[in-house]
Amino acid sequence: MLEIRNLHAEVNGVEILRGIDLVVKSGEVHSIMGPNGSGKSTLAQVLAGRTTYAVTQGEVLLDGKNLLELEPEARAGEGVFLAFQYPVEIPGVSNSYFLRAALNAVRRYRGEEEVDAVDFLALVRAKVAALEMDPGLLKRPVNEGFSGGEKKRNEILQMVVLEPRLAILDETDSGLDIDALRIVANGVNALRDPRRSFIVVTHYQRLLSHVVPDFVHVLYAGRVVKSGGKELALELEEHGYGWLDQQFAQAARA
Amino acid sequence: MAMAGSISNLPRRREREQARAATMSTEVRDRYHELFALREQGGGVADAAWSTGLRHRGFERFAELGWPTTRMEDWRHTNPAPLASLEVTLPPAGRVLNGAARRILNAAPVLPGATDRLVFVDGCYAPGLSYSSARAGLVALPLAVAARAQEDLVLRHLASIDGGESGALSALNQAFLADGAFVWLGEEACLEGLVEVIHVSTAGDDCRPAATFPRTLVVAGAGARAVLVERYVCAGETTHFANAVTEVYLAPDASLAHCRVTETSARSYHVSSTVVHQHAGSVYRGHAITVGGALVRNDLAVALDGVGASAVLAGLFVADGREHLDNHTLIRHNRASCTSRELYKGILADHATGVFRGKIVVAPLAQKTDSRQTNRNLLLSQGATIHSQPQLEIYADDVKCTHGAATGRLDEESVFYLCSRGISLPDARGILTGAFAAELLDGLPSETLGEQLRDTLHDRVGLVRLC
Repeated sequence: MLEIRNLHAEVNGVEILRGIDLVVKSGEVHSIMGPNGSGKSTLAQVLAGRTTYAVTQGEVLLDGKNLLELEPEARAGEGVFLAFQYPVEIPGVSNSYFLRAALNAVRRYRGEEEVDAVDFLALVRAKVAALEMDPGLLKRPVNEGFSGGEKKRNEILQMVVLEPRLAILDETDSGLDIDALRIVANGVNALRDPRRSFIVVTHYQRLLSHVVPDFVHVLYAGRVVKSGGKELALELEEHGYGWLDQQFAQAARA
Repeated sequence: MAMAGSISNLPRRREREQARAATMSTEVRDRYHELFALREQGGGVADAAWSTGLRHRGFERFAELGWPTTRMEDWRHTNPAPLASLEVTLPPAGRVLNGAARRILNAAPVLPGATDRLVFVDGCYAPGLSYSSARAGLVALPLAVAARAQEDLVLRHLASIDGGESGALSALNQAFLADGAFVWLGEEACLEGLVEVIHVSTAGDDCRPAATFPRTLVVAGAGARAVLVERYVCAGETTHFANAVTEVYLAPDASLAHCRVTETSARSYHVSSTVVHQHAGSVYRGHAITVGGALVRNDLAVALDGVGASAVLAGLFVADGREHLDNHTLIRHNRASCTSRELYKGILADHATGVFRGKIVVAPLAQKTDSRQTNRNLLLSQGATIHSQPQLEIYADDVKCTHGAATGRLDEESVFYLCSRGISLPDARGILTGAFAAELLDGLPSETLGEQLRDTLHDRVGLVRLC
């Protein structure tokens, strides 16, 4: 379903992604781990269409369609969703307006009928309850004054409303306490579906004991240097990333 | 001298410019004098004997002051020369035809809750489009009618507010005083609904712009409360020059919400002076919404002349193309324990220019003054410009005064966030622009007016309604 081939990307002339190859099939959950600065967030943002990063080589195909040729909004229409590491605060725009505008934009793209305000409210209320969110957050401006945990849950809320084909979670677990982590993980697990895939970017193993991945990849200096099953995450948790420096520093410099 | 002259032509160029300005000033004075004399002798003021003295004093003052120039501090960022060069005519007083009436209603649809509506077409009262609730405690009449019935009351207030310190353009308005709106609120009159004063321009073209001199006088008795919507719109493709003056008197504890909305076409010109005089404990809430115009200059001066009076000034100005919008506000804290809150926001697209100059003067008597001023501007393009100039003059020592100004562009991170959720780039920009304007449009005393303005701003700068 998703194929990333030899993806290179740079920012201000500095190459961050240096040839990523990754295949994610329908229904699979892939975790991307790696030390700070390895390119995890860059990969997530490049997939969503952030233009701060210039793609210099390679291709990204979603169901055979070249994502790199699409604007961010078209990618969302095709089913790409990025849960931001740092969700943006948008004063003056209510959360429920934003959610409905997003849902209807995506539905229009897919040739589906728009959802009216009444139906939308019923739909979103159920999802808010499932994520144990304060319904009052719907009336508040997007992410403004939300706690760290509320922001992350709000990202998951957007994901469950938009029902993407490919969900990319960029360090959604950071800043969450144990309860919030469980709630977020439940939200993700409830969406797991043979027709939907996930890329879970994280530093830590703890989210992965709730959202169990099919594959774990280690990103280092802009390349996938090791792939394995879910045991790899445990291994990383135990040994840290220090061993990568010794093992790959030379190769990365070359 | 000779050497400097040979190296640089600057002194001579300045001399030439000054000479040209002087010539222009004489020319424009002569032109208006001709118009003035024609009108005074031609019977255009036949039923306005009550204001003859005012008009002549107005013209004398205008002639004495001369047309403003960019050498004046008040006109540093707005060149008044394009206004001077307009070969204006006075539009004929005519009947409003059916087609025109429909266009007028489209340009300024009646707001829900409007109990009284005074419509002026090219400066003339249009009785067929106006109506009055005839409620106790409220007089909403054309000035000329009011002056016939209560000449004393009208003349006591009209043109007396600024103590003869008005600028040249206000004086010009007075010289051409014809008709306008008179809104009087009796003591303790607590009015539901709102009073609308609508000025519509239908005449004029590029060769002969139509000049109008709208005048509004509001006198609120002690403890009275009301909402006034003053609106300046165009019906059809016209080129005009409106020079408007509004005076507001608030007796002790009176409270007025005053929306002043100007929607001016890119070919038309609008200058205005709003002066507000507040007694103790009175509350003035000004909502100044300015959309478009080749050149628009709005002056708003509020004098807090009684203990505990408060003024809340909210302004939104929006321009695109090569339009130029200038807002000058002046708040005088003249007595103790007065409060002022001011928030002005500008949205500028294309090559538009905006000016905000907000001056606050705290007099020695005005201890315990509490004043806050904010100006925020959103530039939607590289070519747009804003001149923002807050100014505080404080002559009392026990005061709380803050001011701040910030100008920025749409936040790229926010735009991407919205787009990443499927929202198109124009919609994302429009939503964020709408969010920027929201607090000012939501704060209007008429929700419908806010919605109408959102539609206008959608067409102008792509603002997306957030509902």
